[in-house]
Amino acid sequence: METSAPGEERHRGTIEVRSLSKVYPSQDGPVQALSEVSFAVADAEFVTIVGHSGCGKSTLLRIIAGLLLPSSGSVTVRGRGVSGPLSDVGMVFQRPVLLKWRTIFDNVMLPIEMLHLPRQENRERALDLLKLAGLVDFRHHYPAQLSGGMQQRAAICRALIHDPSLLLMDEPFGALDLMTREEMNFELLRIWSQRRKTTLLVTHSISEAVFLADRVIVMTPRPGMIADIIDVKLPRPRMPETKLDPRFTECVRMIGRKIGLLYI
Amino acid sequence: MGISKTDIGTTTISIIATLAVWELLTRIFHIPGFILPAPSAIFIEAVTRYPLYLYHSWITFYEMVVGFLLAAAVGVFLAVVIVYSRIIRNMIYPQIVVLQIVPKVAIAPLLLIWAGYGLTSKVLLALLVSFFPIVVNMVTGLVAIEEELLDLCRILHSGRWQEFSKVRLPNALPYLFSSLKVASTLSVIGAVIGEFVGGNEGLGHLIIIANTELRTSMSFVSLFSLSILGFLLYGLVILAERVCMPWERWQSASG
Repeated sequence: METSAPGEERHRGTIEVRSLSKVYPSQDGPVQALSEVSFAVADAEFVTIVGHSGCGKSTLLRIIAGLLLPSSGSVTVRGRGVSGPLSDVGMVFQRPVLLKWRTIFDNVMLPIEMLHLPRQENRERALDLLKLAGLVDFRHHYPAQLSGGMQQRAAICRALIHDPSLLLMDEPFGALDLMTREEMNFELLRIWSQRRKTTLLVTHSISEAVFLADRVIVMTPRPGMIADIIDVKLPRPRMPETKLDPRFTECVRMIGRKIGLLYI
Repeated sequence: MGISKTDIGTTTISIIATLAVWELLTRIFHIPGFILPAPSAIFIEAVTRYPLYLYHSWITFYEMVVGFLLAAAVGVFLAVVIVYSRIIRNMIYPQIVVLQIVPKVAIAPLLLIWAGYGLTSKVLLALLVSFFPIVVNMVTGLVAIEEELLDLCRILHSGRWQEFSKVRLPNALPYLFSSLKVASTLSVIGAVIGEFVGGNEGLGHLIIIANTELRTSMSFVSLFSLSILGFLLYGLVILAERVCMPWERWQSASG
């Protein structure tokens, strides 16, 4: 993990994206996936990115994680330019992608092993996280014994175990049924309120984006551009009643209009 | 897949019924023993000369097990090399496929020239017959990794060794074991072909002798012994699979 000089401490968890573009080569000529995307995320902020599928949301997330290089523009995380995969990132994907041959506990410990961090002190962390995610009684189970929602909760624990300063989530609840999905939104906020990570979450559900976020980045497709960035002025902690708040519905309606869902 | 008492009952009854019908037919139609011996005759042959069959079974079992284990080692090694080195893949994969296409029975006489009439030529033949599915399946298993997992490895700076040992290798285990099950049955064929072509030991050799002397019940006892050996090795593979992959029994249980 990167260590930061004391002077850089104020940058901790801060993402800065400057005029980022990404062009993919394809058989029918180059495809512009992202065009001139710029934004910044403050420390401990929860930002969601919402847009149609194919608007380059996932590409953006992969570039920030250092898994993909941009065609032009730059990303800095905590004041440092990103040029390769960042171990200071916890990543959650649409599928849980747990190792099916490892128990839940050993899955959560995977980053500790791979980053060669001390195992003994991190066992406690893993147990705490599993407790927080309500999985501590299932720690000796294999992933296949757990429901999809539980598996995804374990994947969130795995993303947090090495105490990264960024949490990147790529449509983490997209594969879950609607009821589980709502439940997972509360779970995620509960975990997030305990471990205030700078979080960037990609989704195509507008209400999910608004419900979770401090700010919502609205993207338009082909090429992926930022249509607007919207401050969500809803109090935390968010409750089921939050969705009945007129400010919530107004926010959802406004984003729908930006994206082009005219029927809202 | 649970096996109930009813399942076992049904299987047992059908086996007994088949044997009974067979016994009756040979008696009713007075079929000569050298064409089709009755089950009772085969049973008597097995019981009266069991030391002979035990000895030759041991020889054949030794050949197939050693050949099988070597095939597993060679197959896994080749698969790893093929996955990790493009140059070596281009050099050896086509040759492995060509080798697989050549009928092994046709190679057997050559192996006798090279490795002699002893056990080595049979072990080599068992190896040759059974290693191909292991290579192919193992390669598939090492490569069939979800892309997100590879992303995760990169974020965690896992390096090649950890990616191999913690992700690719365990991921390949189910593929490996399904190929080992196939290979275990193939290795019997390899060993017997070797014994057919030359040598003076093993169940394959007994079958040749039985044929020239028209002692058909001896052929049948050898055949049954062969299937028992095949079953035994197959069972050992399944046992090893259970031990190596304790998580696997949960896979089918949930959707």
